[in-house]
Amino acid sequence: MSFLMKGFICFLLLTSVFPSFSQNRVLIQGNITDKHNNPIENLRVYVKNAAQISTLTGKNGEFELRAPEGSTIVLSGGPMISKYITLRGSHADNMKVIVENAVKPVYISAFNIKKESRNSCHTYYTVSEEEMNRGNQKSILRTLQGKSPGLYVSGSGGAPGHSIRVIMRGENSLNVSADNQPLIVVDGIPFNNYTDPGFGSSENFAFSNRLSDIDPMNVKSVSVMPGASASALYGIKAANGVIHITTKKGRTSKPEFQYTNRLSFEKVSTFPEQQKTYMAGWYGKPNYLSYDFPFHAYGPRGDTVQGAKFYDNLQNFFQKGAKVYNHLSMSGKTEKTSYYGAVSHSTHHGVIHKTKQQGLNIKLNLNYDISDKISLFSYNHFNLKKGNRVPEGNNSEIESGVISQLLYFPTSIDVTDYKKDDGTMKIYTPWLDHPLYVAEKHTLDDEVNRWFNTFGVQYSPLSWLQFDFKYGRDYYTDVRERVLPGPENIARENPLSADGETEQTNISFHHQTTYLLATFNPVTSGRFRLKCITGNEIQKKRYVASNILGRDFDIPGFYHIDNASEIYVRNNTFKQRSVSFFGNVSFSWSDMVYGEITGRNDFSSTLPKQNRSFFYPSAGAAFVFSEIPFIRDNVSENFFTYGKIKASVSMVGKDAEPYRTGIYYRRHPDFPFNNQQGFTKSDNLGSGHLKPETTISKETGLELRFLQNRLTTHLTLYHSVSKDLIIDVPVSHTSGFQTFTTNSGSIENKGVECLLNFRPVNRNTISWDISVNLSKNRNKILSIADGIDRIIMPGTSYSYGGPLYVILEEGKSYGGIYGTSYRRYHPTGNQNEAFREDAPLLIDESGFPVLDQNIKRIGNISPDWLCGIQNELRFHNFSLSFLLDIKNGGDIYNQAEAFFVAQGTSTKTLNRDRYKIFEGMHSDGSPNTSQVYLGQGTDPKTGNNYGDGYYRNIHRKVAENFVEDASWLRLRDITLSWSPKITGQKSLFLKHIDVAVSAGNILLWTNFSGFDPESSQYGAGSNTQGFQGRVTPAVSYVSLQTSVNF
Amino acid sequence: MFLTLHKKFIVVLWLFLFATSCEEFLDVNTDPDKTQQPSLNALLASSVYNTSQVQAEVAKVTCLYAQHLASPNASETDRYGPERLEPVWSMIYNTMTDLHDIILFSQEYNSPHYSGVAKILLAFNLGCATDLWGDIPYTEAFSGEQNLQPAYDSQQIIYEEIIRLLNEAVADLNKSYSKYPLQHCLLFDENRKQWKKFSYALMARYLNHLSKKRSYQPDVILQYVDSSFTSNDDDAQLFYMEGQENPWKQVVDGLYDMGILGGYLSQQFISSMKGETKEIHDLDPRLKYITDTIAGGDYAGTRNGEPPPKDGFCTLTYNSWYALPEAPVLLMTFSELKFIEAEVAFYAQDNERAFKAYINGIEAHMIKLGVKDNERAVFISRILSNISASSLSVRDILLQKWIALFLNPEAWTDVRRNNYQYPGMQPPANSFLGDTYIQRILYPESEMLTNRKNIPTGVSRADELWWNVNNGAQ
Repeated sequence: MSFLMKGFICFLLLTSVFPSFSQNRVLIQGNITDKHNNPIENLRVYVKNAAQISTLTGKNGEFELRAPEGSTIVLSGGPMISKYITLRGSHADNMKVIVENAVKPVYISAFNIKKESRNSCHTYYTVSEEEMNRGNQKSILRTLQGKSPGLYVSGSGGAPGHSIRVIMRGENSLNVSADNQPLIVVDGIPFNNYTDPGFGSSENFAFSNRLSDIDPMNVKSVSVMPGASASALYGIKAANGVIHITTKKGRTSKPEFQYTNRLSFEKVSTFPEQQKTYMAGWYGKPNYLSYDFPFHAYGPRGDTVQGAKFYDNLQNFFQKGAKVYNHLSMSGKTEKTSYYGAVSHSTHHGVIHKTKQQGLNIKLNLNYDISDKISLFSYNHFNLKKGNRVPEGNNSEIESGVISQLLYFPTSIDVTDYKKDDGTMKIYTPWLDHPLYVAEKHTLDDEVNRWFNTFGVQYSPLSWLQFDFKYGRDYYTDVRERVLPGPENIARENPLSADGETEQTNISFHHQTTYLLATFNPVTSGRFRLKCITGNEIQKKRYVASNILGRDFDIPGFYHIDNASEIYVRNNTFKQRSVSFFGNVSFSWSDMVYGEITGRNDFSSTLPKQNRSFFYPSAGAAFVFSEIPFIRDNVSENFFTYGKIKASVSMVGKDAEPYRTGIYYRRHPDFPFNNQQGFTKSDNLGSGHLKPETTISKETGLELRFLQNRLTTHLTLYHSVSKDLIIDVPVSHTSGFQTFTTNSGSIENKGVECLLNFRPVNRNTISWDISVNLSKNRNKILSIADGIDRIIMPGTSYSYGGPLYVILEEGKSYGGIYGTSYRRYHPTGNQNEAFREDAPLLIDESGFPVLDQNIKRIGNISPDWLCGIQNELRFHNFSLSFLLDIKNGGDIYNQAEAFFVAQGTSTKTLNRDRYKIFEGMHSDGSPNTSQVYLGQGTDPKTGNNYGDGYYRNIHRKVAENFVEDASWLRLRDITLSWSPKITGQKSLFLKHIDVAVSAGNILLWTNFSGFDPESSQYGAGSNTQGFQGRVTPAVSYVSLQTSVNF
Repeated sequence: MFLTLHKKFIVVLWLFLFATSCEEFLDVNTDPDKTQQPSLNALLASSVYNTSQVQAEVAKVTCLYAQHLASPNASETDRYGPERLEPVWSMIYNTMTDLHDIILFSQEYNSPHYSGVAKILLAFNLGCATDLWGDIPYTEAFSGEQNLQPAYDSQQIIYEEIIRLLNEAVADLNKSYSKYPLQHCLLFDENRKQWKKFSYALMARYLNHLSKKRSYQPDVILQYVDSSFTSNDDDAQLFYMEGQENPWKQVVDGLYDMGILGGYLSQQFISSMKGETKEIHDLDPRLKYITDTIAGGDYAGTRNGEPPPKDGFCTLTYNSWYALPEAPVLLMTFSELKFIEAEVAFYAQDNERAFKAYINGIEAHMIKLGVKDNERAVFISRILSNISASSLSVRDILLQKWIALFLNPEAWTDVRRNNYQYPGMQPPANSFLGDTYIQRILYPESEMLTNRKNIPTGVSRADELWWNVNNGAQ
């Protein structure tokens, strides 16, 4: 219902106003519509100072109310501009209408049940249709970012469809492979948001998180329920919070069409600097060691070499990206049916040569009322997504990735010159491939087909009883085909691989959910009201992935499995099922006190039989203190409009991943060998004693509204502890296993969320709205396991700058970055102390700082606090909105810089032929005074040999040098839109036009020195974050969107 | 109350149907892609394969220390930087876990022939591991949930266990009945006799490592030698094939195509093979089966710890016998056994036997590489003219053994036993350890994280292993 946020609403009080039974009461009937004459459903209408006289508008926006004559009727959650409200009818002059400026009047709670905001005992945030379709190209998660505190949304890169990660109120699992992201629910049915890395080498490619299958244009509203509050009703998977998406339904009586076209262009937003003084080479010479080709950029100065040239290789490598998007929808409503259908198509060319993504989206939502008592609905979604991707280099096989190759590239060789006349790859050193050639030839094409269907029946045999049955099916296939060419048998060619490779991955995912709900409303009138829900949920999930890798082809250039002489097959299957029963009792008293109790019992297939059933309850209460008669009577409503305090406690159980209860033997990956099969024990030791993990979270909130809702604030404090975590604890490999799945460890999250909405300017034609959200989460790992105080996250041990890991450590926050540092001076010579950034460096006798090989905590990936400031200015038909995004704290490993230093393209290495006295102390406590040469080889002054030089020998190995604070302030997006008033009424074909120009990610202030710090080496599905580098850098865009209603 | 009888009935029926089907509905937690009951043969096949892979993985590092190979870019490992062989630790313990399971299962299935074979391979891997790290977990290892932090056993205990396992293996293999008889299993097929010979060969190998210990008994070792391999046909080796190629072939692939550097021959090895040593002054005919000449027809190696020479350098090539796609990885050869015999006989003061075994060892290796008969005869006659039974020294034996153990982890064990005393051998340039030779591999990081209370502390790379300390423990 939050599209009420839309500025203009007409309020039509139609039909007649009859005299009532009581002396001063009159029956008011009316309809509420928006400015397009669309009825507004579920709007709360009540009588001021007599809130118990209230009702919700029906499907056609109709309502009836018996109100004292002359009283004020309040529209809860109405528009901000009350000027546009008109009253008609015989008693209109006697009735005053005010519009309560509730920012989010209604939210969607569990099972798609609409709830009034007043009733809520938990914190939730909503985003309206208008915000979803503001005229820019933001994804759903991006849109939430500016509007909802408690969310940490981070992009993993700038390739078309690159995944986006979202975390609510911090990570609450210690399992390295656990999904810490919230549950996505679409129209009441769980929607898979997995970022599937596939098998092995596929990890190199930028895959999407599957939420991107939803077209934001088809979204009506989004409710965000952070923390575990929603989970008592959504169950296990909601322990990380819930994002509930409601799609559009038909709502106008006449068929309405909307056509939207958007054109956008994008480019890499930020480039790091590279030095353009020294050429490719080594020890000042143009070749490497005794070879006749160059490697690294430690060669001669360009000004000493005839014809030397330098290039902006980073800039020249990337191209401009473009996206075309078209969307056509039709919606309408008859007495018994309503429908919404939409089709959209997009084509997106990325900033790397040959990268592309195309999408087709079809949506059809149908509702049909068979009778007053029975109605049916069917919501259907289909989408097709095709991608052409390139290996970016996110995994440890750095040689193969496009971005890795680019980061190696010296500035004295032109990166755009990549092919020889015969079409084969041009390279400057035989050990590296050419990034453009890799992008062109090493390809991965993928195609996702997804069907998401919901069918439901609603049966209300009695006025106080309703049954709901719902069946949802989420099914997709993802077919990926990768080709790495081998030699073409052309003389003197540089093949990308010795034999060539082709790889086919077939993924299918099938998730079925059924709900059966019974809702009782035994007491619906009077001061005390009661509502009970009881229900059952059954879930069935199946994932099947198979992978065929073929190598070594007989017929050159025919990269097909049938042509391969080496074939490897891998499979990954899982099934997961659950059955749940739940109940919810909620009551209210006098519209002042609200209470809610829930209970849920789950039966999960992934736990041992004896522990598979588990129960968890929750309770909450809210008190609207502005309804206290004393306050109501003594405080002007014009100043203090509304005040509520609420508190809740919830417990959630969580099951294990599939197949964690047994010991297995798997096929050895290199078998069959010599026509024989080989099996080996799995690395994971399952436990037959697993029990569910539990999270207990408490939250309390204060909601205040002032100045007739022009100023609203929302403050929430929360605290959650998860314990008996199901962790794959790393164990000594000598035990026969590498990990042991057990209940162990606990983790704590606590924080503050604050939301403030303010309208400083509120005139007829001018208005200004500010929405500020602020959140801070503090995370602490309370314990891990007996004898284990650290878990090293996978995929982290590789780094060019020296060993680097993301480690979970007892007593510390989630996601510390650990690596090598400079040894610090310590009077006793103690080397095992914690990392002290401010302490003086220890300088050895040769005059250089000393590398500390001990892995120490040198950074932390979690931000200290996040802030989003959304501004919206309206002037006549124009509106300007922009979002400022502030992230404070959170370190990131700057991998590009580590490459540049190692290769000699970093601007830091420009002082390589200079001398330096390193600031620091010798081990005896005396300050360092010896001057050293920073270059390679022999110092021309002293004749001392410095070997590979300071930057190669020391600087690049000190990970500390590359872990940087990635705080930022950025203009996330800015949109200027124009919606002229269509005059001439019915005769005109057009109903509405909207033109919007927007730009995103165009201004960034940060001390981070690399590419845009918002990109991640690993995709959104990985818990290993904080490594920036070998992926397509983040992009900025401009777009033009035109939308026409007719 | 709220429900009519009719509706109550439906609810009860529904609950009943649910209760009966729920348990079944939820019983889906068995991984369909894996098994909980592997066959003995499938476990053994993967163990044999892993054993062979581990040998190559280890050799890629230890052959730098043994100066068979040198790093192409003076890597830290080549210069005695900290080396933990982290992946090898995991591979070797995974392999030993599988072998341990075979032993348990074969007791259950009354199949002693499988346990015999598994014990031999377990002893082999245990020997490989202890010769890298010294003290390692064994007696408390492989027990899963019962002990997730196994204690470390001293190397002396490990050696006793190796010999015990090998003796038990022979006893197991001598049993007449095995419910599941040995099948084709990549190594020796189903031939129990071959396995027993391998067991005796390993007893000789590991007992001979203890030459500096008081317990050393040459006579016993010679008896084991007599029960062991009698020709190259008995070699314990895993053959690779086209499509599933020898790991050294993959090193050469890397060298040519992938930009991964490896397989550079050490200057020490090349100069020894060129005959720049005291006993022979001729080019060893085996060298051309190992590498190709550089431009100008000469051979040149890379000095350990230094970049390769400017005028060219030798590497493994597609012509190298060791790097042929279908070449075997050698676990233990007849030729090695002959050198063990030579050394032990020498200590037993049976110089004639020692000399004969020494010559046989060289010949066996030459035959293995396919050296032509006439070339072999010329080379042997050269040796015979330089060295006799009476002038033979342990250094001579170990020099030839070092050549015959090319690309075998056992070479580094001998090099350490021989205190790096080879003609012309010197520590790598720019060594992290200065003039000191490296003696052991450091414990892996994973053990420091997961088994901190047991891992031996204060171990340095220059500390000699127990067997290299003269009369240390006894």
